[in-house]
Amino acid sequence: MNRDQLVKQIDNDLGSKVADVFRRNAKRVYLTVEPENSLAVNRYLFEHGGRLATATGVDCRDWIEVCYHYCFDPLNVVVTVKTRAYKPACELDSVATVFPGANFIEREIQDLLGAKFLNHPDPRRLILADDWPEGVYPLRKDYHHEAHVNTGRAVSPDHGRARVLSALRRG
Amino acid sequence: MMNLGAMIGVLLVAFAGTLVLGLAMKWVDRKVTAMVQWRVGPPWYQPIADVAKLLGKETIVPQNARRTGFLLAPVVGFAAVAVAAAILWGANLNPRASFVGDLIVVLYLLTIPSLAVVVGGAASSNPHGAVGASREMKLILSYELPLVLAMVPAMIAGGWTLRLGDIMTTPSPSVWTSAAMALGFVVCLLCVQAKLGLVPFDMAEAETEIMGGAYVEYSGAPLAVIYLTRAMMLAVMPILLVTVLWGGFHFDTVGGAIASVLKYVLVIVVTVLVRNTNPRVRIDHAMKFFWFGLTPLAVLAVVLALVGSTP
Amino acid sequence: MNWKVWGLSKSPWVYHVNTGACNNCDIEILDCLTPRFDIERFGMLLVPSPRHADALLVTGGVTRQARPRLQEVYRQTAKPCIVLCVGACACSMGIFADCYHMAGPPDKVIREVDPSAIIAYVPGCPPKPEAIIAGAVKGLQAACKLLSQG
Repeated sequence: MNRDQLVKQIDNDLGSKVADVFRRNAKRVYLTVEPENSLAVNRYLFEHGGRLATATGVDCRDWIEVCYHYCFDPLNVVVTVKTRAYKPACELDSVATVFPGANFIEREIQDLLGAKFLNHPDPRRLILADDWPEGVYPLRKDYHHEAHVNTGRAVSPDHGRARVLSALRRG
Repeated sequence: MMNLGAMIGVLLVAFAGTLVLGLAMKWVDRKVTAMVQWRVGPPWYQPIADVAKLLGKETIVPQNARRTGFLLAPVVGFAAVAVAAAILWGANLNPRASFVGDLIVVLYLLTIPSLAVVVGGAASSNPHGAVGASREMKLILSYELPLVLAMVPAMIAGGWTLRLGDIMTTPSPSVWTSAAMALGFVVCLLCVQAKLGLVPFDMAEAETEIMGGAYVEYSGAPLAVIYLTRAMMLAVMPILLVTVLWGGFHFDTVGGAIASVLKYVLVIVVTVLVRNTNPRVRIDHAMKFFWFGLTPLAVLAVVLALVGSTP
Repeated sequence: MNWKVWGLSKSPWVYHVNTGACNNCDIEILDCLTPRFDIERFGMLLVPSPRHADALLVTGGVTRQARPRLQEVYRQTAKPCIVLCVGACACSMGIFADCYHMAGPPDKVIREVDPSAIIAYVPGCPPKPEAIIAGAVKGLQAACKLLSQG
């Protein structure tokens, strides 16, 4: 099966769920999908042989675009599902409910871009520091670096829990 | 019976001699390791530099640690090795002066450094220290039995005696001709590897795994004492092995002296080569190895010795 | 120099701290231990605990999460010790200088807890093992001179 046959199969099975199909070249297909259909399309691609390589996110002005990239290795084709999380709510259905491989990448997008994934099995913070303030998303276009104090928590002078016994080096 | 002055003199001379020998053997260990790995190793004064540097660092005691146990454990271990070394040197240089049961005393004293590791690690108030201490405890329970059992053929061959002097002076079957002695020697060699805390049995101090295990919180002078204790154990355990199971050290003839030195160096080199060619094993593998592998072999050695001694 | 300083110069034990490096500098540090460069001939050993260490090899610029941890590790190291900042990121945060997740280069972070820390810098991305060895030697020479003077 090659790219065109795969696209025709997707068209047949998913039909109206896919808003737009863009064939970039012999190996790449981009499917644009509305947010309410994203879970169904992702599930379909996963169940029909696609391997989630990664997911990426971009902050467009009024929405956050989240792309899931599926590799169909025997066919040498990569299919990308582009969905939008419209601001200000920025909500999307979590694909991690379908397969656990999407767990960490969705947490990362959530940390850095602020796209909320509904029903995520483990929506904890992943890669930002523990004391990073909530609601500040560094990879958004309106993130101001200077306005944000970046030094974080320091160890206090009497934080040490040790007693220095001998001072041979001073003697 | 020696007077107090002579005893203290013997103790100090044995302590100093074993210290020098231990530091030299530590260098031999690192140099042979380097040669096996096609490297140039450290210079001959490296262990001395290590100790000098450690004595110049500050001693830090964690606030939640049990201070007395933490600081006293290395010293107690060090003292135990020093006394055991004195007894062994005394037995080798003057076999008539050894007392009944001195083999038992030496074996007993040589368990104390390992127990000191357990106490020190447990007193560190550090989870890594606790893991290291528990591993060392399990290891002690595993290798002590085959170690002692493997020495029984030598005791039997020396005429059912517990005196080191008798074991050395009684003409007994040598390790090359007697199956019991050879088996006992091999078992004892592997137990010595575990006692010294060398790979494949260094899981109590696993560097890459538990950040130094029982030694994780030590620094400065206590760490220097631990370093010296391990150096002296490295010197003393082969002395014990050769004394009990391989005929001892005889410095009265030139040939005997050369043979003694060669025996000792051979044991050290075999230990270092085993250390460099094996990975570290898990603690449960080590326990199975000692309980189900070496202990039956040691029992077999005892049985062979019994059979051989009652014609 | 007195015997303690001689001991420090002949037997520097190193502990490696990665405070947000890409691991390239860590690989080069590992290379130093291999037979080709063999830092054990200088007495340098990789030790498992900061309490045993004389030299902290810090790689990477310090991230916000790593900052209190690096300070804690420095305080746990028994003094006298030197800090060797290995790599461009450790010298000056490198290409991550303006990033949101950086809390400063390691020397600034360590000087917050100890203004008189002895810090040596080895630039490079990653520095060659020869450069790391040269930096360690220079750092130790400077440290021994400072310690001899009192």
